[in-house]
Amino acid sequence: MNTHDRQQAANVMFDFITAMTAASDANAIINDLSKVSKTFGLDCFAISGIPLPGEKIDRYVLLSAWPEGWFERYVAENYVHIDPVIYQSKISDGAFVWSEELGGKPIRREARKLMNEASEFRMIDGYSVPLHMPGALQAIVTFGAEKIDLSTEAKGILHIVAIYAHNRLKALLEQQSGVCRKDAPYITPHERDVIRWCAEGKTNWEIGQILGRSEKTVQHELHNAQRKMNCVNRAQLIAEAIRIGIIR
Amino acid sequence: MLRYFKGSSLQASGFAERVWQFRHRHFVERFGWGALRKPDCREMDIFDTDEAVHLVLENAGVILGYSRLLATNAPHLLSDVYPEIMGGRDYPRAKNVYEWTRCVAEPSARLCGVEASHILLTGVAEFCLSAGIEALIVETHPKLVNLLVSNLWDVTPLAAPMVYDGALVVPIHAVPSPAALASHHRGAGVNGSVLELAVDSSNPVTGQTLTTFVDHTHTGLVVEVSCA
Repeated sequence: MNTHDRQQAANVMFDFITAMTAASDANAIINDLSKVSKTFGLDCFAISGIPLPGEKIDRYVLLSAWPEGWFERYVAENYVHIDPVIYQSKISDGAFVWSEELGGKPIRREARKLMNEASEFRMIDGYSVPLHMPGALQAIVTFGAEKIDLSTEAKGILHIVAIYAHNRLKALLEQQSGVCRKDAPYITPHERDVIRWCAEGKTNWEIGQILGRSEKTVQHELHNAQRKMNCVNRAQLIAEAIRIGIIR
Repeated sequence: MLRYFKGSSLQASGFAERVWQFRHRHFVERFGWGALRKPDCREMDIFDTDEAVHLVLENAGVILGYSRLLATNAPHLLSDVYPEIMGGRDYPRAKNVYEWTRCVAEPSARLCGVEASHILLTGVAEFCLSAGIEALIVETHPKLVNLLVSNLWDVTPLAAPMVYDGALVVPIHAVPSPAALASHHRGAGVNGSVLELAVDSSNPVTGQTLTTFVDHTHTGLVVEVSCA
């Protein structure tokens, strides 16, 4: 990549990241991903979680700009469980071009059938970005095309794009699905008392004296509350308790 | 678990030799970074100065993980070794912005019931919050970008990824937060501080005494207490 191309490619990446901070729904993300896809000669894309054996993929698909008809076919035939691209994504956290990664490997008959059908929808090759969390596969972002011709730098940019697209999508879905539930962990009355006295600046020993409990018990209640509210220390716990209305 | 040494206090601690050998074993022998090879198998460089921050994950004297932080207001890797990675762009350099370098953990090692690599990551986040380090500059593979983003760090790429020495590398600006630390705790199964600070530890940013951001130590036990 020459300098000018590198600058242009960098701008595509930066523009996308900026766009993600403002993307207010899945359609906005689809629009922005479409622009990036076209820039790199890619035709379609999707973001999906991975179903457990025996489950269907449709509940796990977070965002789809897959060719019409192919998605229905893929779900109806339960292709997710024989798709070599999915298998590769589970066993490795490296992003890969299908033809480069799977090209030399033997393909089972069912997988060959899947790939032939995909090519009828002009998805002949693709670039997939597995997004792993320690110990688990969070999601796959896949781009499909008739032909893939990506420099290593372009692959890197698409990898970054995939990360930010998925991250924004996840945040939007979490927002939609129940901020209320997430915002109100159940804090027991004992725990609430302890938090209130913390906010008054009392030590654990003093709180124990006030409430007629041992210092150790107070400490455990405090740690339980911190755990439930995802706080790592006293100050954060108090701030968070005020924020969600446990104390004033 | 995760010990902090600044500059020559690493030598004073007795851990220095083990650290140089650990770095050589992983970066030269395991990852194949030939440029770092040393005939005596001790990997150290010109940035291991009195200001270098060494975070050493050890258990019973055996090193299981390591990270080095270098202040960006002094020479560091991105400024002095491979500035071309920035593609001509600028990045913030300040006394509370550090470059995160030489990060590695012994694969499949565990301590206190937690994977070593998870403790290392959690510990780096906790150290930043404890020391008031506002951001880390890292030159890394896109995979680590996902690891940080998924753990609620605020991450911004500083330049487009490029191929350096045969591998993809992207410079990023990564900001930790209490929420990010809590995310690490949840994901790793950590329930307290993983830092082990000497009594006289000084904050590398302010020079004052360093105290941990998390006020109780990780115990590796999950205790549910019910009281009458």
